[in-house]
Order: sequence, then C-alpha cells, then structure tokens
Amino acid sequence: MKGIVFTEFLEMVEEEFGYEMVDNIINRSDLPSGGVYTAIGTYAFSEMGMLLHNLSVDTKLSMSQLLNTFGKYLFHTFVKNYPGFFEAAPTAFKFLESIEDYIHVEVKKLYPDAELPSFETKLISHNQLEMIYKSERRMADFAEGLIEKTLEHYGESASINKKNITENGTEVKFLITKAA
Amino acid sequence: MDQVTILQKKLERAILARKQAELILEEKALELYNTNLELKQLNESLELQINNRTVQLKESESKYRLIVENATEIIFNMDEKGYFTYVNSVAEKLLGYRENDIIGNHFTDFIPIDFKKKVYDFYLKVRDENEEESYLQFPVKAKSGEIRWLGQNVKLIKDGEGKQFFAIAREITPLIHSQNELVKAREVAEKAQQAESLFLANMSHEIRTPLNAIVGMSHLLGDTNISKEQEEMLDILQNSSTVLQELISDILDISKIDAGKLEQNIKEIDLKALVLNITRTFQVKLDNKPVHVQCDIDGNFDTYLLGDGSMINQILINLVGNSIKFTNDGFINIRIKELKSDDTSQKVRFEVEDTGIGIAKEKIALIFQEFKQASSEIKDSYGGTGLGLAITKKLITLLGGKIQVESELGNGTKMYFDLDFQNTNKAILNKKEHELKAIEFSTKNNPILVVEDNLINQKYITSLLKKWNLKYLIADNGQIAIDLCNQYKFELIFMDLQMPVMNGFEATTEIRKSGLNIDSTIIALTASTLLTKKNKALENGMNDFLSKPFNPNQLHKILTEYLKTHAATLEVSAATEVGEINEALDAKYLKEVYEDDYEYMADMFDTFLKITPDEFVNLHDALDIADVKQIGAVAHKIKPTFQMVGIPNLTDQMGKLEKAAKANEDIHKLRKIESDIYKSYISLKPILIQQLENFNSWNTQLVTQNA
Repeated sequence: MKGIVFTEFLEMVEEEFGYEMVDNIINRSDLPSGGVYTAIGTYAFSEMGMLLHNLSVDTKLSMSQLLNTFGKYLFHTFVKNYPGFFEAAPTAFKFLESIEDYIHVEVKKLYPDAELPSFETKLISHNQLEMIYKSERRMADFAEGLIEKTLEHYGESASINKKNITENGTEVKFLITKAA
Repeated sequence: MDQVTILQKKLERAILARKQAELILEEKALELYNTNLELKQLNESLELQINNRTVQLKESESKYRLIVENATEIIFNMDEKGYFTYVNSVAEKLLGYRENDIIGNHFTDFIPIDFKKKVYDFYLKVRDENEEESYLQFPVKAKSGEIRWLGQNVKLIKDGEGKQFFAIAREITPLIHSQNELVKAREVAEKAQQAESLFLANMSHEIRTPLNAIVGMSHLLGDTNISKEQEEMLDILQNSSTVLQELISDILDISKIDAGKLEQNIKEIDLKALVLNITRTFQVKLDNKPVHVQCDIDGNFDTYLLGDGSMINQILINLVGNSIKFTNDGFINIRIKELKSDDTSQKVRFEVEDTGIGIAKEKIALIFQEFKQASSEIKDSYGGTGLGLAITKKLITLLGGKIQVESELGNGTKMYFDLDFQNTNKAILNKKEHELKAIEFSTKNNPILVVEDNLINQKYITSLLKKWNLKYLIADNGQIAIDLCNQYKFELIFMDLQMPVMNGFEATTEIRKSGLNIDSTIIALTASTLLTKKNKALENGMNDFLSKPFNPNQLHKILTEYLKTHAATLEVSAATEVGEINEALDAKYLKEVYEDDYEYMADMFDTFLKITPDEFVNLHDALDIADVKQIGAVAHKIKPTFQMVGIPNLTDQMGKLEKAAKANEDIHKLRKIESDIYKSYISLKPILIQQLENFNSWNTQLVTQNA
C-alpha cells in the first residue's frame, strides 16, 4: 500500500484524536515498518489493517465508520494533489465514470506497483448510476466516503444505496440516485 | 505519558521517515539516471535507424523521379473525380503545358469537345467496373491549340482510403495520321476502281453500238457481189467482230459487278425448273458433240425458294458452258442438293461435274482471275476471253457463296458452291410438277460432221446448219473426228485443214482407209488462197473445198450440191417472227441494229432503264444551278442512248439541247427544251418496260422453239 495512505491516515488520526492516539495505535500494532512512514514509500496492507483495528478498539467507533471518514479525509488530498482529474469531468457522474478507465490508468502509469480496486459503472438513466466495487481489500466504506465527497464537490445531492454482492464485501454495488 | 515524550516520539519518527524517504529518493534517482541512460541509447539507435531509412527513401525517390522524369511517356495521377494530382515533365515537352497548368485541373479541360464524352465514359468505366487496366486512344488539345493523339494505359489504384488513377500516355499522333491517310488512300483507290469499272461499263456500252453496225454492215456487204478475196477479208472481219462482241459482253458483266451496280433481285424461284431448263438448253446445243448433259436433283427437298434466279442461271450457264468447252466426250452433270434446312432457310449445294481435260492443281487459282486461262495452249486450242469464270466467281461471291474446285489434269473437273436461301411461304401452295421431256435426237438422216478448231467458225457454221434444220456433230480436231467417224456414219464432213493435235490432211487419209465413212463426202475448209493447198486437199481424198470466210449462200450452195437427196429441206427458213415491237418505238432501226437477237435487245433496254434516271438527275442538278457547261456535257453523254432503244427523236432533241447549251443560250430556253424531253421520256418509260418484258419472253419462246 502506498505510503501516502499511511501518512494521510495518521495525520487524520492526529487531527481527530491527538498524537497520543497515533503513538498508541502504532505501539500496539506489530508493524514491520516500526510505524515510520513516508509518502513515497510502499508498505504492507496488513499494517493498515492493524492500525485501523486498534483505532476502532480505542475509539469505540466501527471499522466501517472509520473507513468512511478516512475516505472523506483523503478526498481533499486528492483534490489538492490532482486537480486535473476533477477539471476534466464536468459532473459527478462523469467523474465517477472516469475512475476505472482514466484515473486508475493514469495512477498505474505513475505508480506501477499500486494495487487499485476496480469500479465498473453503468449509467441506468440520466440521474442514476450503478457502480460495482471489486477489491480483496474490502474497503467499500472507504469508497463510499470518497463518493459522498465527490457529490459534495460537484454541488450535487444524491442518495447512495450500498449493497454487498459477496457476503465478505469483496464485491459491492452502489446505486447512486440524484435528487430530482 | 507527558506531552514532551509524545512530541519527542513524533520527532523521532519524523526523522526516521525523512531518512527513509532520502534513501528511497536516492534509489529512485539512481534508477532515473539509469533509465535516462537507456533512453538516450535507445534514442541514438532510433535516430540512426531514421537516418538510414531517410537515406534509403531519398535514394529510391530520386531513382523513381529519374525514371518518371526521363520517361518518353506522360505519366500522371488523377484523383477519383478526374482532377490531376501529378504529372511528369514529359507533358510539357509533348503538349507545352507546365505542371501548374495541369495539376488541379480536370482532365476533360484538355479534351476536344467531340471526344469529351467518350473519354469521360472510359474513365467512369475504369473507376466503376474495376477493370484491371484499360487502353484508350484519344486526342488532346496542346497548349499551342494543336490536336495531339495519345494512347493511354490507365489503372485505378487504391491510395489509403481513396482511389486514384495512374496513367501512362504515349503520343501516337503520327500513327493516327498515317492510319487516316491509309483509310483515305483506300477510299481513293476504291473510288478509282469503281470509276474504272463504271468507265469500262460505259465504254463497253458505247463500243457495242458501232460494233453492231460493223457486224450488220459486213453481213449486208457479204450479200453484195464481191470477189473471193474480199469475201475472205469480210470473213476475218466478221469473225473478229464476234470475238469482240463476246469480249465486250463479258467486260460489261464484270464491270457491272465491280462497280457494284449489280444488285440481287430476290424473287420466288424454282431451282428444279431452273436446273432442268439449263440442262435442256445445253442438251440442245450439244447435239453434235459426244457429251451427255444430265442433271441430278435431290428429290427430297423443296426447290421453291426466294433467290435471284437470273444470277444463279448465269452462274450455272457459265459453269456448264465452261465444262462443255473442255470436255470432248463423256458427261456433264449438274447436281443440286440440300445441305441443311430449318424453318426459315435452306443451304443448297450446286455442283457441275465433267469428264473433261481437267485442271492442274497449281493452275486452279489462276482460272478465276480476269483475263487468265490455265495456259496459253488452252487459249490457242479453246479460245475464250478468260473472263467467264472470273464473272462466275464474282457472281457467286455476290450471292454469299464461294466457288470450290476439285480437279486433276486429265481426270475431269468438279466445281461447286453453297448458297443460303430463305424459304417461301407460298412454296407448298404453288408446288406443281415441272417435268420436262428429254430431248430426243432424231436419227432419220445421218448427221454432218464439222471438224473445226476455231470456236467462232464452229459457231458460225453450226448456227447456219441449225437454221436449216440439219443435224451435226462437232469435232475440235482431226483425232476427235477419226474417233467419231468410227462410231457414226456421216452424210458430209466439213474438214478444217490446220488444227491442233491432228490436221485435216492426216485425218482425211485415216478416214479414207477404212470404216463407216470411207465413202462420205469430205469438204475441206481452208482460209488459204493458194491453189496448191486446195489441190493438195483434193489429192488427199477430199471431195471439194470451201474457202473461208464463206457466206451463208456459199455454204448453202455446197450443201445443195452434195446432199442432193435432201435438197428440199435446205430452203432457207424465214426469220422467226415472235411478236411486234411497240409502234411507239422505231422497230426498223431496232431490227437493223440487233437483228432478231432479243436477248441483246433486252440487255440494252435493261441497261437504258437502269442508267437513264441517274442521268436525268445529273441533268436536273445542272439545270437547277444553271451550269450551262455541265448541261451540255450531260446532254452529249446521254444523247445516243435514246436511239439505242428506238427513240431517235429524243436523241435529236437531246442534240438540240446540247447545241443550245454550247451556244450559251438563255437558261429558260434550255429548261424548256429539257422539260419537253423529260415529258416524252416519262410517257415512254412504261412502254420501254413492257417492251423489255416482251423481249425476255420472246427470247424464251425462241429458245424453246429451237429446242
């Protein structure tokens, strides 16, 4: 997993709960990196899993809630670092449709070792979009946070219906319906 | 944990993270450096490849350019719509146009207006019908305005998404010019040939008139009291006139065919009747030659057809006549049979086969040429103009057939040809039996033998014998005479003295030795004025002599003297009257000129009716434009023709017109004279047509009577 995800995650934890919490979850997790992260490095996904787990235990917040919040947090980083992707798409649906075939392709060019989920999209009608999330990382909640922020970014309001296709959450269907 | 400790930990981690990042960055920098190095090498290698490729391209392009620009042909490209996209410099050399004058323009801008459509259609065809490659010759306008011809190969080639024409054009102007000149030259030659034939036809026609006068006058002269010497001279005169008449008649025929004046006259005909008639006619003519003329008609086919009966008649008469000329004994067989037929047409084979002297293989082609015979000996022994078979061949060709010959020297000749005919619908309805009785040869009296090699003399003597109802046989030389004498008893033998193969003296000696004619009267025919020769004849066992040329009275006198028992039959019969000539025509004049030769009269009337309308057209044209000189010329030309058909007063009037024209008199007066002539001519025309038909039927009657 890319180092930036770790640095952003720990920054969010520090902002929300203070560095004591950061220190706490690092110390309680068995991390090969020793909890030292740099945005340009690459680290095992399991470290993120342990950090998240310990954060959930300490804060009494659910994993899915934490992931959702992290998604929303990371969105700002994306907007800041990669404004071109957002400028290229005029609407939220256009942006979401461009993830799989454009944004992820570009990300792969920049970070050949990046492991990305797949997002199949299907425009059901002019105000309804179906997105299928597929990833062994089971981070659909993280994706949901990103989607919510995207709609917000474009100033559009929509309801998001999330439904697991596989029980363990490796495949999840989002049905995004814009308000009339 | 206190705040300081926490911050310390954060700082420691941050320092560690920085060091880690520095390490990663250093690795990345090295990686980047190496990658750059690789890229640089790759770039250099690519540049090298590009350079090589560019050099190759330049070489191949300059090679191509060298070929294209130094070609002798115009090489050009056009887009699919016909706009030029490329042209080599040859266009400027040949046509004067610079590249700029051509590129971007449409090809039709360079084509003369008459050819635009043709060339346009050609390109359209090349484009739309996927023709592999096509060739077209067409003219283009050069910059100077001159017309140049190009011969062009064009191909449609695929060019990316579109298509374009690729063409190579070569200048062929000199070729086209020489082609045109050839065509013109051929036309001129053909016209010249036609003019020659027409001239011959007219000349022959003109020659006939004075020749008739010579024949007529020499006959009349023969009836006057003339010396023996004068008689001999007269005889030569008459013989020569006859030869000349035949020659002219043949020339007239052949020139008519060559001038294209002879057209088929398709009528319903019966081939069976036609062949039977010819067979019969020749059987009659042959009475005195040991040759049997027979016909063989395939009975299983319908002989009623649509065709030109008179041409077929003439062809068969020529072929049979030719066979007779060269057959001394045996038979002549005229055969017709059907080769194939369908609902509307039939193919018929005509064959004339004889047991004559035959023709050497290498001479076969020769005998159909004008004025050519198989050899000069043939001409000496058999006479003739050498035109008969040429005419026959031309007539057969005119009817769409081709004469074929099978012959061997000494083994007879077979000539045949195939013609196509249309069926006649009436054929079945009109079918009737055309049975002609075989001609019987009365053997009550013994015949006379005429031994004579000269055909004119043969014809002369036998026509008189025929007239006096005497039977005769002809032998062309002494040897044949001996053969015949061994088979028949003759009442009297006329023996020429100088002949090929065996002369008259030898033949007489032989006849007198033994056989049927040991006591028969033999009269020598001699052109010699020398008494010694005549005495020699008498010494050789001949009874008397008759000097050539002799007149009918002299022949009659000899016959009366030696055929005492038959004196009664020797009275000269009156001229056969078959019908009266229409009173509107000058009968006296016609009889004087043509005697009773109705065939000849018919020929003259027919020719008159064919040529006169055209002459009047010429005359009217000249009158319309008041071309006085031409009026005089035409009047002079047609003046004598009216006389020849028994309208001498129109000849006189035409003479008046000629004179008036030559005196340059007022055009109105000329028109008035001509108008009177034309009115008379128009009113007489139906009479002439009727008279022509009468002549034809009288002629048939005469032939039948003589039979």
